[in-house]
Amino acid sequence: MPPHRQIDGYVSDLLAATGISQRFGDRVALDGVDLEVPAGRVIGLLGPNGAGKSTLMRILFGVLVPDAGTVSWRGHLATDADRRSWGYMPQERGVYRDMRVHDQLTWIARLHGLDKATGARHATDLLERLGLGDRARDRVQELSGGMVQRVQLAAAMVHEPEVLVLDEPFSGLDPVAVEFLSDVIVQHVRSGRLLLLSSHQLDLVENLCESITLIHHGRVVLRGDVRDLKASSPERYLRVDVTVEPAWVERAGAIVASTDASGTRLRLTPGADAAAVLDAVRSQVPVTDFAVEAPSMSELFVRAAGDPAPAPAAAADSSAVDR
Amino acid sequence: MNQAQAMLLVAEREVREAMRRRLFWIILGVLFLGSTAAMVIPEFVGSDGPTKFDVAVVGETARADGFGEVLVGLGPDFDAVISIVPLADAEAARAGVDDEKVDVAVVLDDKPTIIVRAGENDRLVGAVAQALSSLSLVDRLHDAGLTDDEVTDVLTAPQVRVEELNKESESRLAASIGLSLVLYLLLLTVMVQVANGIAIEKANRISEVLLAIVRPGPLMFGKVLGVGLVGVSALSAAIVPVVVKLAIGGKLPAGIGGALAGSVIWFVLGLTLYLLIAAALGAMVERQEEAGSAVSPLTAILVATFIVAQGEADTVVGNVLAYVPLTSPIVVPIRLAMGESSAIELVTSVVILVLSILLAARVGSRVYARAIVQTGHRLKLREVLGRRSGGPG
Repeated sequence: MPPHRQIDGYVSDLLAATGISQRFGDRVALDGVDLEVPAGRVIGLLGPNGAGKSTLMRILFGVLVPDAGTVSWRGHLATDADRRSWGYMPQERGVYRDMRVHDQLTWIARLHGLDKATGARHATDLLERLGLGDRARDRVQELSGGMVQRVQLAAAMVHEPEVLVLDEPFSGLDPVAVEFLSDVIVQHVRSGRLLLLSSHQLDLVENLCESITLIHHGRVVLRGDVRDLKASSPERYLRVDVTVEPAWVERAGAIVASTDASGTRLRLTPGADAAAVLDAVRSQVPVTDFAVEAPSMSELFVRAAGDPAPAPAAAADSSAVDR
Repeated sequence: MNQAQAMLLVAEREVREAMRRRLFWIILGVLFLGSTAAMVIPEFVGSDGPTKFDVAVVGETARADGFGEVLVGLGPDFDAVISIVPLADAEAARAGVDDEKVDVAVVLDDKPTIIVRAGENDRLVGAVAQALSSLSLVDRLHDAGLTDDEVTDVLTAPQVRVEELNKESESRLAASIGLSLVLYLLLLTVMVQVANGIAIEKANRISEVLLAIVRPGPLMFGKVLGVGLVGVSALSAAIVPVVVKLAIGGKLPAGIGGALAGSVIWFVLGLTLYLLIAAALGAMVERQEEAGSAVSPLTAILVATFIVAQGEADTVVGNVLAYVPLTSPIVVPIRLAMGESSAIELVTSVVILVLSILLAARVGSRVYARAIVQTGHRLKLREVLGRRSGGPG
């Protein structure tokens, strides 16, 4: 652990992107985006597919050179040497399928600047930690899909990076793997290091991310501490474990936000009394479970980004009819 | 870690992984055994010396002696030493052939008979028949009243001498064709391997992981170096037997020594040039299967050069192609083997080749760096070299 952290705290360990803009032909991928990743917190870069998250991450690592903007690390412009000490798991990540797992990780560790013996030791330890200790000698192509994903994670972490950047790490994972990866992420930040992850599945990561930057169409639409953002939102929701007809609660000051197998989520209009809304529902059917909740991450996103659908409502309706 | 170290690490992985592949060792083995066979077999064939034949002759002594003299004289024509075994009668001759005591028997009477085991000793039988007809000719000339001297004169006058032209250049040509075939196949294989390797890295997004650690330059040059070294090691497998034979004082086919030394230079330079271009082309594909067609312009040049070089290496066309960067690696070794190259030609050719490599490294790495991060469709060169367009989602 670098000694300066003992003195300066987490402040000096800051990865920051400032004013990043990137165009691809006529398409604006990023438009003046700022991002800060401090140490010791799980930072989420969130937004729908195509928002520009991957492009920003590629720029952080110098894979793409932005049209404008800078990437800085500990207060200076990030250099190749800085970046080599970071770890990156791209969204579209690959590993050499015909290479042995341990060989591959050792080699990647050496690319990061570790000597062979240290790289091999890290690879062994990490594979053990990720539950792949007995597959170290296997070729990647002999592993199951879930195991390959863990090898990809290991490839980003084998050099024990200060900064770990994971692009859509949860996509395609089963719930057990999500749990496992979440643990790995939390352990990383609890040891005082930096972590940035991206996801388009906002609700999947809302309990993991402590701070978020939400981007949409290449612009930041919301950023901040997740708890603060939720607490400061004027919106409140009432969740009940029954299916609610809109007409039951209309007069009590609530509208049906969503309905699924586990019940209904009702959005309370400003000034509405949650107890009155609950009573309105209970007058129709018995309710055994309920809670007043802050908006979810996707609800915050919809509010911040405006209408999530790119087409106007009328057009969306007509296309629905066409289908 | 600096860029050079990163490049060496990338190259090291290529070599190490190639050495793990069974195919690599098979190719190496085939080349080594083929080359060894080419060096060793002529030694055995050549060291056998003349074949020895025993020919039984039945007939009156003077006639048999005359025939024997003619037949023995024909022996050297087909690298044989013929011994005459006089026998008493046809029965003894048949028994001799049957028991393999003699190779062929001849019964000299009015209608001479050649006795031979079916299907054996064709050339000897031919010589015996030739000796018989000579003998019959002598008889007729005597019958016509010619003296012994006159007969000798008639028989020896039109002596035929076979003049073999360009015997040396024949073996040079054979050597050069063999050489160019090895170079051609190696260039083709290794070049496709580079493009394919890069296409796999791009298509499987391994490059995405690597580019976050290593700049595109070391990644591309490391690949070229690694795969190139694998190619050179394959060439070495073909060359080692030749060097060993030289070292122990064996005689090489004419022209192959200089051609071989030249081939190594032009092969290494040519390999570098081809691989740099192949690497850039490989980075432009979207799917791995497109790697072969991506390098098809290079393949076409290589194939055409190989074909043209077989017939035209010693002509003006060959002379011109010896200066052209992409064709000289194939053409120059052939011209060297044929003894057609001048010193000026060789120096100029190397200089042009080296300059081309520098240019290819510069342009190729730029193409690679831009193309490797652009996914979604197969790229065109104009697209890559022009303004930045397209890009990731």
